[in-house]
Formats: sequence, C-alpha cells, structure tokens
Amino acid sequence: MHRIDKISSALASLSQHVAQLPKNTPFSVPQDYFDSFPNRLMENILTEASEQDLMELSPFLKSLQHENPYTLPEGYFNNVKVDVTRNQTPVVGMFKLTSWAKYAAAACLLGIMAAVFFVTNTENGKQVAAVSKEPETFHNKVSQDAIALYLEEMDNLTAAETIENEPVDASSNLLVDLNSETIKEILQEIPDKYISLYMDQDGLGDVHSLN
Amino acid sequence: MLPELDDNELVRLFKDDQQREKAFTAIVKRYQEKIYWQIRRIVITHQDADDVMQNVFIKVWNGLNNFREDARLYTWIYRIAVNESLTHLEQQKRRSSISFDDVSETLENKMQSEKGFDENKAIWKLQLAVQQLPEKQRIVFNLRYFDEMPYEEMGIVLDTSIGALKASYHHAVKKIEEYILNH
Repeated sequence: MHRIDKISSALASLSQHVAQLPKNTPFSVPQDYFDSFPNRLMENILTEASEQDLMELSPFLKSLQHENPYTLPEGYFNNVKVDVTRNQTPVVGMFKLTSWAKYAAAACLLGIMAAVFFVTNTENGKQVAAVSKEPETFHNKVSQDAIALYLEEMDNLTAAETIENEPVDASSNLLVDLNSETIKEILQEIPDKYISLYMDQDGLGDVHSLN
Repeated sequence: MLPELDDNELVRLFKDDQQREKAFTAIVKRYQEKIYWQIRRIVITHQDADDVMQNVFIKVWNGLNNFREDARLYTWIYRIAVNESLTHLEQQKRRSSISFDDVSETLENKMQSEKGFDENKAIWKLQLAVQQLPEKQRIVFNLRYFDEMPYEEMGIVLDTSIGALKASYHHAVKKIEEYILNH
C-alpha cells in the first residue's frame, strides 16, 4: 500500500471526523512570493556575509557601523523647504550678441584675414623673387669693401675666442704679489698655535715653527 | 539543468565555490513551499513566516558545507525550520512576557485576523483546533497530517522516538476531534 494511503487509513481508524477534514490551507500568501523569495534570500545572505567579514576584521568598527555622532535639530526633515526659485540663476548664452554686432565682428574678421593674406603674399613674392635671382646679381649688390670689412671682423672674433680658451695662471689673478718675503710677513702675523693646529690637521706636524 | 539533480548532487555542487549560489538557489526552490507552510502553520502570520524562512535558509547556507551526505537534506532543513519556528515563538513570548496558554491565545487572535477567516468553515476550524494543542503535539500533527511525513523521518526531525511520536499523534487527533465536535 502507498505510504500516503497508509497514513490516511491510519488516521481514519483513529478519527473519521478528522480524516474527512479538508487538508488544503486557508492561509494566503502574497502573489509571486515564492518566485521572489530565492533572490531576496540571496541578497540577505551576501549582505550578512559582508557584515560578518567586517565583524571578523574589526569588531570595534562593526560596533560603530550604524552609529552617527552628528545631531540634527528636532523635526529637521519635517521642516525642510527648498526654495527652488530663489536660487535659480538665469541661464545666459556664452556669446550673446545683437545682430549688428555679429555682422560687425564678421566684417572685422574678414578684414583682418584679407590684410594678412595681402601682406603675406606681397612679402613672399618679393622674397621668392630675390632668392630666384642669379648669384651674380646678389654679389653685385654688396661692395667689395663691405666684404673685406666683414672678413676682418670675423678674423678678430676668432682670435678673441682662442685667447679666452687658453689656460690662465691662477696667480696672475691675485691682488698681492706673493714673493717669499710677503709670505713670511703674513705668516709672522699668525699666532703659532693656529699654524700648529693647521699643520696637525694636514699631517705636517714635523714642520718647524716659522716664528 | 540543476533542478534535475538530486539532493546529494546539489550539496556536492554547493561545496564548489563557482557553483555555490546556483546549487543553493535550486535547493531553496525545491523546498521553499513545503518549509514555508510548515513554518506558517506554527507562527500563523505571513510576516513571521517570512522572517523565520529567511533565518532557516541562512542557517542552511552556513551549515551546508558541513552537511553529512548520509543524512537526508530535507529532513535536516525541516529540523532547522521547526527549531527556528519554536525559537521565534519563544522570543515573542519573552518579549511580551506571556505564558504558553497566552501564546496559543495570541496565535488564535492572529489567525482570526487572517484574510478570509471564518470560524464556521471546517478548514479554519481545523486550524483553530490545532492551535489548542500543546507545542510538541501540534508539530507532530502538522508533520504527519499535512506533510504526510513517515515516523522514521519525523523522529530525526524532532529527535524523538517513534513510539513517542505515535502517542503524540494519537493524542493530537483525539483532541482535534473533540474540538471539532464541540465547536
């Protein structure tokens, strides 16, 4: 005999009244409850898992998670009014010009472009013409004296550069003539202890006192 | 694809991190209605049943990795559902400092607030009669009468001997009969 039939017959033998009662449920469930439940459950599980992670990382931070140290005036949110019209700034176009100004600007722009075009073309024409001429023509325009003067100046410049690059004797830059007598005079003015100290530092301890 | 797999295969899939959510969703879809009605008959309101359902399946999620494959999945979930439902009632009792009799009364009041309640209809009369039963008898009756669960499985769910379950069921049926005849 089938299991469910066995259960029903056992119940009937216990109580005919109870066995005849309807088994369907009188309770109702919101529509689509069972369709949406698995997704809702998964969201809760994942949220709980992330909270558990924080709990394991730092129970202290977890305990503070939902605490807010800031206070609000009582009934603040009930009395919030935003005056939208007061704060509205008029929207102005970036290039708002009257019609005559637009035409004037366009005319100026055209004028500038035409002037630039004219000047550029004229000068370019001259330069191109000058370059395209024969080399003899260019040489003929410069006198022989000017060329000679130019070459002489170039020679002088080269000579000056050569002098600047030569090694310089450092002693020639000193303001005092350092012969042996002068050095001796300078050293006599320095106390012995400073000279000894200097020689000790430089490993010259065995040099005799100069004074 | 997953709904065709048996419980053991779903549990095995659950242990694979890549398949966990899919396997779990398949398990939930398979058992959610049976578990819901089991819970609903104990806690009565939909809101309470929904809360308990969430807790039950969160416990299933947390415990499924350690679930022994020799045990039956739905028996284990039923057991969690019954325990969670009773814990829920216990918490309600503690919160409002009421006795067991008062809990029955509260559940009866909740039932009377349900949509379409009519105490003259046999279907509601049966529910009212079940609410008069002591807690253990109520659960045994629900599992046997509505879910048609064999005593062997019920023994696992409630951790009770088959003899004790049969006796509880017997007493429950007799009390319900008496209630139906007198109301």
